[in-house]
Order: sequence, then structure tokens, then C-alpha cells
Amino acid sequence: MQRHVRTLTTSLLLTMPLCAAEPVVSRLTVEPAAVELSGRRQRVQLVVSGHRSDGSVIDLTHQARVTVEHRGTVGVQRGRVLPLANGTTRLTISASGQVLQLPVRVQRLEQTPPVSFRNGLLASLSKQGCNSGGCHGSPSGKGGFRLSLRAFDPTLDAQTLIREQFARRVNVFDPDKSLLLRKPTLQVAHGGGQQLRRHDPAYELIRDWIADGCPRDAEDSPRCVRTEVFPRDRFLKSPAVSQQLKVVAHFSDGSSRDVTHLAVYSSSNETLAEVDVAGRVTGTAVGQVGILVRFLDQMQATRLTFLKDRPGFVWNEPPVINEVDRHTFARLKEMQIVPSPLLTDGQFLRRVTLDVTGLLPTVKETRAFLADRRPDRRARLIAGLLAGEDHARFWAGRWADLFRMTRKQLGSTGVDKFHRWLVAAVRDNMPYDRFVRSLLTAQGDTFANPAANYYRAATDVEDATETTARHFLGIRIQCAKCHNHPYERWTQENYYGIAAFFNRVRRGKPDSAGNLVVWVARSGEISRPRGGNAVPWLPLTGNAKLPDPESDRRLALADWLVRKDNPLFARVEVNRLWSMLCGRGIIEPIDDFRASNPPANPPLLDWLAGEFQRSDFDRRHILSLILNSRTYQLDSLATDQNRHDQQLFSHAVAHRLSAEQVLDAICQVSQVPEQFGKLPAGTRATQLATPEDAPAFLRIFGKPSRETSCDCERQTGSTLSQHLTLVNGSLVSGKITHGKNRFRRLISAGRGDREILEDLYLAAFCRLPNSEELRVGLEYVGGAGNREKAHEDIQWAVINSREFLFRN
Amino acid sequence: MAVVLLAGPGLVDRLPAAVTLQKLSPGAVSPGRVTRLTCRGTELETARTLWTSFPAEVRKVSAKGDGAGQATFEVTLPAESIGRGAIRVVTDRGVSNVRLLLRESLTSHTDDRPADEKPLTLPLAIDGSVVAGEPDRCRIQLKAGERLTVDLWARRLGSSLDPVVRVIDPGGRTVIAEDDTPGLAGDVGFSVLAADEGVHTVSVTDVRRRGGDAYRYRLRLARYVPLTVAYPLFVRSGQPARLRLLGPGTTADRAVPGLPAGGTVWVGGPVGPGGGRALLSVQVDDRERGVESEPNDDGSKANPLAAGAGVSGLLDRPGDRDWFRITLKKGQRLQLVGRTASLGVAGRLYMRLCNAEGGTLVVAPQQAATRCVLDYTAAADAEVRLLVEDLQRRGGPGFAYHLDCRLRTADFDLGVAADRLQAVAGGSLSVKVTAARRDFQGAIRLSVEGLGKNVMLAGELIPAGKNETTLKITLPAGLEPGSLASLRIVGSGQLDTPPVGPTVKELSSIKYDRGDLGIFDDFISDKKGGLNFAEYDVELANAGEYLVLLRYAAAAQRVAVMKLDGRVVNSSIMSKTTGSWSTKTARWFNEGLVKFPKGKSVLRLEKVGVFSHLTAIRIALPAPRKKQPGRVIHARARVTVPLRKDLGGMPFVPRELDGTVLLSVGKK
Repeated sequence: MQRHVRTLTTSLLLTMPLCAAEPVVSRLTVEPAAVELSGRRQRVQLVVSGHRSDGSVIDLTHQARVTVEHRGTVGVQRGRVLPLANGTTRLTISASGQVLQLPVRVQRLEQTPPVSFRNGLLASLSKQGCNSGGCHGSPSGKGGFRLSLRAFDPTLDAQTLIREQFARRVNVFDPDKSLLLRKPTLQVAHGGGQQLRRHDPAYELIRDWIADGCPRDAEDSPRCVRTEVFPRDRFLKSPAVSQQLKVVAHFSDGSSRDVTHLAVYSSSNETLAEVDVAGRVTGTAVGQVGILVRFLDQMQATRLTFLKDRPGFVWNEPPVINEVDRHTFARLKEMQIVPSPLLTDGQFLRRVTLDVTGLLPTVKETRAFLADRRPDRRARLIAGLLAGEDHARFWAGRWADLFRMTRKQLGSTGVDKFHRWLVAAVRDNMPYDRFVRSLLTAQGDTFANPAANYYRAATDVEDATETTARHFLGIRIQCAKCHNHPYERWTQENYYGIAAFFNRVRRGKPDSAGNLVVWVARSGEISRPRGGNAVPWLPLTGNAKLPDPESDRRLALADWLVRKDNPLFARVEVNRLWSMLCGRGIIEPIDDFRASNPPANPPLLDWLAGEFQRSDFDRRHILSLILNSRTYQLDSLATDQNRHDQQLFSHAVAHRLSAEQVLDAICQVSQVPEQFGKLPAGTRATQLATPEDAPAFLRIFGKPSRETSCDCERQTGSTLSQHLTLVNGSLVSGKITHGKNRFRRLISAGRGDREILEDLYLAAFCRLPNSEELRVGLEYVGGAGNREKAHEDIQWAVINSREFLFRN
Repeated sequence: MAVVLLAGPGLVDRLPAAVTLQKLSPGAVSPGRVTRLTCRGTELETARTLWTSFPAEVRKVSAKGDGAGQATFEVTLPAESIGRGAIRVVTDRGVSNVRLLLRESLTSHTDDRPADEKPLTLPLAIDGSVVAGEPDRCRIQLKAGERLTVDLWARRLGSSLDPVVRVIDPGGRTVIAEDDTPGLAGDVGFSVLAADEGVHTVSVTDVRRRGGDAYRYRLRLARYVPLTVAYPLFVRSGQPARLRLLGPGTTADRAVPGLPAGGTVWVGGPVGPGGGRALLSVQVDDRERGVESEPNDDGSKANPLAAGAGVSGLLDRPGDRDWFRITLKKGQRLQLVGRTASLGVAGRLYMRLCNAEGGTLVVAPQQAATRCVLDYTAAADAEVRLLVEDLQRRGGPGFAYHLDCRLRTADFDLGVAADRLQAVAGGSLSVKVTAARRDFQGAIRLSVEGLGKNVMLAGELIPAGKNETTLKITLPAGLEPGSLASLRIVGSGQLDTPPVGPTVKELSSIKYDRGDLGIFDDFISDKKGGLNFAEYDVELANAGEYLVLLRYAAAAQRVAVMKLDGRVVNSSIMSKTTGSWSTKTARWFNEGLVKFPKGKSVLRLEKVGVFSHLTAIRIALPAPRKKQPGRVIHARARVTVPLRKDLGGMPFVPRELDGTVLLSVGKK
């Protein structure tokens, strides 16, 4: 049903009549500028683009009429040029009233080379999905037939296809009778259904390879070294809703050819756009999508943004406070989304204090801020909060989650020392490059150098590799440990190349005090699963340059990581900071940077990353920029103009307080602190160094046990047990019935009910109760037989309210 | 190791736990002056005097509050007496636990000063203890550019405090926050120059935010230039020496007179403005020791090092490498012991032994923070080269080390589970003594030094293969009641195994009766991970002690266990190497005497993991000894458990305390 609706929507968009103001196509371009075909199997995909008077571009590949000057030289099907005979000719392409001519040359049809095992046969199997994880590429294969996942191990595949099962999968005397062709075409039963048709380009390649005698590639045969996708990044404004892609593979011998028909395509968001097997993308809604294009082990992505005029859209010109707003609002304006209005002072105070310190502001602080009329009061508040100890402790806790800081993992004293180190790093605003370098190159006693606990939590080479890639490169590289990454360009070579940086890290045994030494051995290489030593590898610069063979390789990795031309390091961290403040990353999930997962606002991410580098990796500067922006200070209430937006930050994301925030907030509002085991009185939940000290309340609200190094371990959703804990639990009940809690102290001081209610609202919501809330509250207390019980009820109701439990 | 022995009423074989010393005030005694020292604890009403690890005149005085919980003394030190020291309270009911304090001249303050009191001026020292969750703060007045040297003693005085020290400037900014300073056993020491004039705050917290009386400290605040090490680390007793006192960017020389052997001697750096000085330790013993000489950064410039020698070295810059060359004979077992932290210096050593061509022979494992041990058995006559560098390739004035080079023989260490004992003259006491054996399985005979000739012992033999005994000591009747005596427990053992006599039985290793070891052409080694073993049924006509010899090849040590009828008879067989895994290099090795029963018994060899390449087993009679007796090895017992309890967070026992048991002779 959904499919039908989408198709209908697409059809409606395509058939929408152009109104008078509709821009017209003034120029045509075609990619490539000339067609060269060599051999009978080569195909070239054309991409015809119409350039419109308003500067926008429309894909006309499938609307264009193409005529061949010398018929019989080439054929053209759905924009794809196929060779028919040697010679030269011209194509005439006409669309939207514009005409273009394209030279074509066909040669060496009679010298068609044999099908390459890797670049032809395996590419065909990949195209048809035969070696995908759900089919024969699964670890145990399917139906007794196992291929390496997405052809990452050609040697194994050659053995399987040519030799296994007494070579019965191929029939070189009658290729069409080969099981390899008969099964996927359903000429014989195939559990995976029909995956291949005779007219598919892959069929011809597989058949020809068999007919050629199933040749394996020579050692020096060309390998695909990179691919290019056209277009790389394109805005498609309605009525443009589709885009044909074109893929060219470049080989190690310097040659290149069109592989559009052999590439595999997938959409990062199928609710926004779908892509067919031929590489044609069709948008079904407004938004941005990444299309991942894979040919063998090469991956590229192209970014397409689908736009549509919104009826009644009027840009409200919100004030721009800094560059954050400039980029955010530019994107919103482009997408015709109007941002929400600004927060009130009270809402802002609550939000920013929670985000920066994890705590609620005190009543005194709230009264002072609400009374402050200085125009820069918000900026002053932000600066004060960022400089405070509470900020350091709260944000250190975020890192503690990622670094799996537990007593079990780091020892009793070790965990406190590492926690103190992290708090000091945030408090002193240690430049982020230095922070990361300190961790990655750490060695020595974990007591004397707490940063070395990084390698105590990451207990082996693989762990260190994957943790480092996840935290500082935003890459989930663990997939590449066993096979090439299915959704990115990372290969097994890359995985073990990074692992080679950590291979010499050694860890001693903890002594009786729990201290452990981390050091770097002077020799030792890591072996790749398929033989040979892995070479330290850096994604941008090739192999690492190491001063001497005994030197600590991690220094080279750290040097490269923090280099300003590293495209990931700064982006990953500013995205993390953004996510912590705005509830969602510009790239989401924040540890999954890949070409097929594009940023919601690339210029914003680029600018923030650039600013981060320009400030010498000053995290507090970036936090300050974000917090001071109007974007951060937008209301979380969506408007009719932005309700549909979930990723462009037109309104703030309201989310439940974290487990620690909920508990601390309850303690603050009730003025009854929580005692955590033997920790000193007054310790707050946000200050806890380890989850072992956490009471059950925190676990119920999703405090992570720090078993993994993933942000995702923290549960942010709502559960029934959370509601029951708040409604009926002993912790809340103990606070509101406590003999010296907030309202009882005020009652003892002789304060009136109105004053008590105002105090409660200021403590919980950073605002005074409105007249209706005040009336209801006073009536309830006045009508109750027991004044204290009535205030208990009101405090209970406040603690259980959405406004209290959420950061809005 | 010395144990302090107290002789109390009747037979005592337990420690007088009731007498405790919990708190000292002040935390230091001043050299050249009389210091009134208040000791708080329990059962102190009969306190008579103090035992001190340093020369001092002690006089018991009366003071307000004295009684069971408090005793007061006046302590007079010689003018040049500085450094760390240990004291115990001696009462009629026994001797207290040990407590460490400083000997220095800085004026002592307490940490309970009101927050609004006038800021303090340098130099000074504060004795305090932190409260859980709260920093202890003191305010000091500094001028712009004035030096503030902080030297906090906590772990080094046996405190449970794991300190973090912060200096906060008048603007509230953190100038420095320091946790474990390398070389200070978890304590903190640093020096900063004040940027602004005004009141600075120095705060002390526990890194775990804990607190209480056990979390005590002495915070030394002065203006002297900090020093990190007195070099060389060892001096020979009885001979004057010249020391170089090294610190960041500074050096001072100090001459020391001939010192008595054993223990630690403290030297002071130059006195800073107003007083106060760095306190540095030097070890004294009776061995001749050398000093590493630069340049020795590569193997071709290696310093010669002889077996039996000791050398102090300095990694004076980051990346510094020191090379030494050692000549070995085939079969010699070299042991190199590098020490840093236990001598109060920073760093952790990396040691690698190479052959003449630079190829690695062995890398020392990283096991203990306090020392680094490298063992190697020479496969042939050769000169080997030792590389020493900091594990993290650091260097600087604090990165000194000491290296002992010795040829390893079978030996053992002894431990005694008491640091103080009590008995009456003529009475007796019992104490448990344990042995940690290294390749030595023979009997160990114990003796006691320090009590004269008339002391009588029972249980003084730790039998062959056993690791403990309860030693019963009967004191001479002539000991004066109320006196103290330092006693040492010494063990000796016959090193050599008897020569091999006629062969009784020889077995091929591959023909085992039970087991799961993998059989190769002519040897057994391993089949799988986990426990590997081979069992042989051995039938002997006569019961008695037989020598067991094993023939094997090994390129590296693979120590295994030998059992007879299920009982461990040797826990370190196959500990030798032959230079190769090839059985062409296999040799016979004597694994010592084993007592066999008459008739059938089961000889079992086992190991978790891989065996050396074992080809044959021989059971032989020991040959009668000729006139020449076997070599004798000795070891002194070290105090094991009690001192550890008293020393809180200190990672090692200071040399000045290690080795003597204090005996208090009680009144009948």
C-alpha cells in the first residue's frame, strides 16, 4: 500500500503541469562529453541534465530523445549506449526544446578481452546479490554454496566456483547449462528465487566467463582502485524528482570504464528516495538522501536533495546571532521550513543549565536570572556555566561512559584517578587534539598516568582499533575485521592497518593496589587473516612514516588523526558536541560517519569543524558558539511550518532527562540529597565515577553499565518501570515525605502556601506558576485537611509532570 | 629484616595488638632541637619510651590528656638528622605498631585553622587529615614571581590518603593540579612560580574523595629549588662519597662521610629562603658499586659490567639509552635486577639483552612496579649486551636507576609473620617462618641472631620441599626485663645436590603409561593447551632417596612439576635451556633427590602448556660425597604481613624497616 502511495505521489509530481512562473530549461549538458566504446561488452550510461533559468538542474536522461546518426554503430536503451559495430557516429539528444550532439566512437569489437574473474564475474555476482550477507555471502553460505561476502576474497570464490562440488557449478562446453546460470534464472529450483534474467548484463558476463573456460585473473591483472559517481551532489527541485546516476571505475593500469550497469545501489533513507538496479533515483518526499554506490570493494556515495515549494511559505527572517544560525537558517530557508520562536528566559535557563551542568538551577539563581534585564544575560550565563566545576564533572561523565569506566574494568582506585583526569581535562578545557593524543599515546602506570586507562578499558588490539575508530573517526570499522565493510569503503586491509598501530601495546597485570602498567613493545607485527603482516595504514597519507622501527607507532597515528586535513577528526567531535546540546547529531548516529549517511546540514558541519580547528580544538569555544546561537535557543514546540522537520533543527528536540539528571533534579526540588553507598554526603548522581555506585533508580532510568563503548548503551526511552518508580517508588516517596524537605522547611519558617508553590515551581520549572496553576494549587491545599499532605501531593505531581522530567 | 621482640609475662606467641600508635603530633621532629611529640593510640598508659629507627634522645614527659589514649615524649635529634624515620611506643605491655614521621626543621601547623585566619607565609608544614568529600585548604600569601615548592607526604608516611594537590591563584584559577608524581610512591611534589601577588589556596583531597584519621598527610610548603634524586643511588659503607643532587634544571653537590652499612640515609638539598630543603634518600651497603658512564648510547660504546657488580645509571634526557656489556660462560645464569621506584626515583625500566650482533636474546618482563628482572642462561661463551631505557623512553634528572648484575644460583627468601614479639627472659615464643624457593628444594636450617648464644630453637628446620615452619624460640634467662632486642632470623641451605651414582632405571619419555602429551620422533612436548602430563609406573626394589635426571632440549625455560604418587616432589623441573629445541642439543639435568617407596610408584610430570622436548628419564642412586662439602646459601627473613598493615598505601617496605624483628623482654 505504501508503495502505491509513493508511486502515486511520484506520478503526480512528474505529471504536475508547469505553471506560468515555472523556470524553463535553457541549456542541456550530457555526461560524458564523448562516448568511447571498446569491445562488445562495454556500455556507457548517459546522464542528460537540463539547466533551468532559475539556476536549478533537472535530470532529463529518461525524457530525452536520442537519435543515432549512423544507425547500426551503437544502440541506445534507457540512456545506455551499447556498441553494435566499429566506427564513429554522433548522437543527437533533444529534450525540453534543447538539442545537443555527442560524438561516439566504437572500436575493437572483434578484440573483446576475456571476462575478468574479479572485475567481471565477481562484479556480476555482487550486482545480482548472490554474495550478499543474506544469501551465499553469509558465513555458512546457502544451500551448500558459499561465497565471500561481497567478493572480498576472490581466491576463495575462485575455488568455490571452479573447483568445489567437482566443478559442477560451471559447464564450459555449454555455458547456458551451468548451475551458476540455471539456478538464479530459476531453470532449476533456487531457494533464493529468481535473481537473474537472460537480458541482464550480468547474465552475459557470467556466461562469457564460463565460455572462456572460467579463467582466473593473472597476478598483475588490473584492479579497481577507485570509482567516480556522477552527479556527486545535486539539488532537485520539484518537478524534478528523479536522477540517473553514472558510475565509472578506474583501474590500476590507468584504464577506466563505465560500470553503471554493474554497480550496486542503495538509499540511505528509502522513505525519501528509492534507487533502482540501473542507478535511477526517484524522490518520494522532500529531504536529503545519500545513495551508496558499490562496485566490488569500492564505495562512493552521492548526495541528492529533493526540494518542493511549500504553499504559503514566507521566510520570517529570524535574527542571526552567529554563523551557526547563518548556516542553519540558510538550510531551513532552502527547504522552506520556518524555525520555531525563541525560548523564554526561564525555559532557556533550565535548558542550558541542564545541558551544561546536568543540574537544575537553584531558586536563587532562577530569581536572579529572571530579574536580570541586561541584553547579554544569556551569554553571561553560558560563560559562567561553562567555567564551572559542575560542567566539568557532568561532561566528564559523558566520556566516562564511552571509556567504559567501571571499577571492574579499571580497578577501584584507577577509576577514581581516571575520572579525576577527565574532570580536570574538561575543567581546564584541554585542547581536544591534546586530549586525544594523551589518550592514544598514553603509557605507563595507570595511577600516575590515568590516560593510560584507555588501554585498560580497551583490552586488546581489536578493541583499541574499534574504539579509536568509533570515537575519534566516527567509523564503525568492526565489520571490516572479518570482511570488507558492507556499507563503506573500509576493507579488511584497512582494519588490520589501523590495528597495526596498537599491536605493540602491552598491559601488565594489576598489582595489589590495582595499578597496572601499559607500555609499548619495541617489536611485533600483526598478521592479517589472509596472511602476511599488516602495515600501519593511514587513510589519507598512505603508509605511516615512522622515525625508527622501534618507535611508538601510535605517535604517528595521533599525528595524523589531529592533522587539520583529516576530514573526520574535527567533524566527529563537533558533531558529538552538537548532538549533546541539540539532542541529535548533524550526522546521526554520531559514530557512523560514512558517505552513505550524509550530514543534515553539510555547510554547518564544515563550518563548525573549521572553527574547531581554527580555535586549536577548543571545545568550550564550540559549545559557547552553539549555546549562544538562536538555533540552540529555539523553542521545542513545533509549529505548523516545521512540524515535519526532524533533522534540520528548526525547533529544539525535547527529550527525557538522563537517569542522573532525573535523580539529581528530584533531590534538588525536594532538597533531600541522596546518599550513594559510602561516598561522601552531598555527592550527586552526575558526579558518580562508576555505575557500580549507582542505585537501582539510575539503572531503571537507563544509566549505562558501561559494558560497551557506544553512546547507544544509555537508554533514553520511557518504560513502565520508570513510571512505576516515579509514581510509587520508595525514592520519590522518601523525598516528598522527608521531614526536612523543601516545603517543610518553608512551612517551618512560617511561609505561606502561595510562597511555597512559587518556590516549588521555580525550583522545578524555572518559572512561577501561572494563575490557573496557582489557583488550583491553593484550592487543593486550602481544601485538604492536612496541609503537609497536600503539599506532598503537589510535589509528587510536579515530579511526575512531563515538564519536570523533560528537557524542553 | 629485623623483628622487634618483646618479652611479656608467660609464653607469648601472639602480637601485643592492644598497644597501638595511631596518631602523632606534630608529624615531624626537628633536628638539633627538642620536639614535644604527642602519641595517640590505645593501651599507652604504661608507655616508657620510644623506639626510633634513627639516633635520638627520648624522654617521657607528662602532659594534659596522657593516659591510655595518649603518651607524650620529648625527642631530641642531632643537628643533621633529617629524612624519614620510624617510631614505636614502648610500654610495659608491649611495643606498638610502627609509625613513620619526618625529621625536618619546617614549622608545623595543623589543618584546623579557621578559614578567615590570616594567610600563612612560607616556609611551613601542615599536618592534617582530609575529611571525606571535602578538600583540606590552606591559604598562603605569595608575591608575584615567588616560588612555591609543594612536597606532600602521605603514602610515603604510610597514610591511606591518595593525594591530589591543587594550587588556586587569587583569581580562583587552578594553577596546577597534581596527582601521583613519579618517584614519590603516589605522593605529590612540584614547584611553581606565582604569576600574581596575593592569597593562593593549596587544597588537598583524596582522589577517591575518602577521608578520616587514616588519611593523614604532612604538607611541606617552601621556596627551595626542588630536587628529585641524589646520585648515585647507592654508596659504599664506611667510605666518604660525593653525591650529585639533581633536579629540573639544577644540580648541587654534597659530600657525605663514611656511613654505616644497611638501610637508607637521607641528605638534604640546599636550604631555601627562610628554611626548608629537599629530602633525598641514598642507600648504603657494603658492596663496591659503579656509575654508568656516557656516552653509551649504542651497543658499540657499552659500559663493561661484571657479574656481581652494581651500577647506578641516569637516563638524563628523553630517549636516552644506556648499553652495558657482560661476558658470560656457557651455562651461566645471568640475573639483572633494575630498580627505580623502590629507591624513590621516577621511571620504570625496559631492559633487553642482545647478542653481539644486536639480535634480541631476551626482554625483561614487566611484572612489578618497583623492579625489573631479566634472567638469561648463556648457551655458549659470549659477550652479551644489555640495553636499559625508560619503559616510556622518558628521561631527565629524576630518571636514575640502579642495576644489579649477578649470576643466579639456587636460593630462597624467608618471611616472618611478625615485626614485634614479646616474651619473658627464659620464656619462649613461636613465630611462623615461610620460605619462597627459587630452584632450591633442599632443607633450610634457621638460626636467630641478636639474642646471644644461649637462645634455644625448636622447629628450626624447614624440610626439603616444604615452605614453612613454626619456629619456637626460647630466650636466654639472662635477658634484662624491659629491654628491647633486635633479632634476625637467618636461614641456610645446602645448595648442591649429591653427585650422580649408578643408574637404577632409565625410561624413554615417549613410552609413558598414562597421559596426554603429544609424541614426536624421539620426544614428548605437547598435545593441546591446558594441563599436559605424562605418567610412568616405576618399580624399585628398595625404598630410598634417588636422584631423578631428565634429558631434554629447550631454547627457553618451560618449568614443569614432578609428582610422585600424586605428591609434588619438585615444583621446578625442566628449568634449564640448551639453546635450541632440537633434541640434538638435549642434555641430562639433575632434578634432585626424590624419596621413592619400595615397589611400584607413579612418577608424573605435568605442566600447564608446552613441555621442553623431553627424551628420557633416569633414576639413579646418589654417589657418596667426597671430602668437599656442598655450597651453603643463606637468606634473612623479611617481615611479611604486619608491616604492610602499618604502611597503608606505601607500595613497598622502606629499607630502614626491612629485616629486623623487635623483641620486647617482659617482666615476670
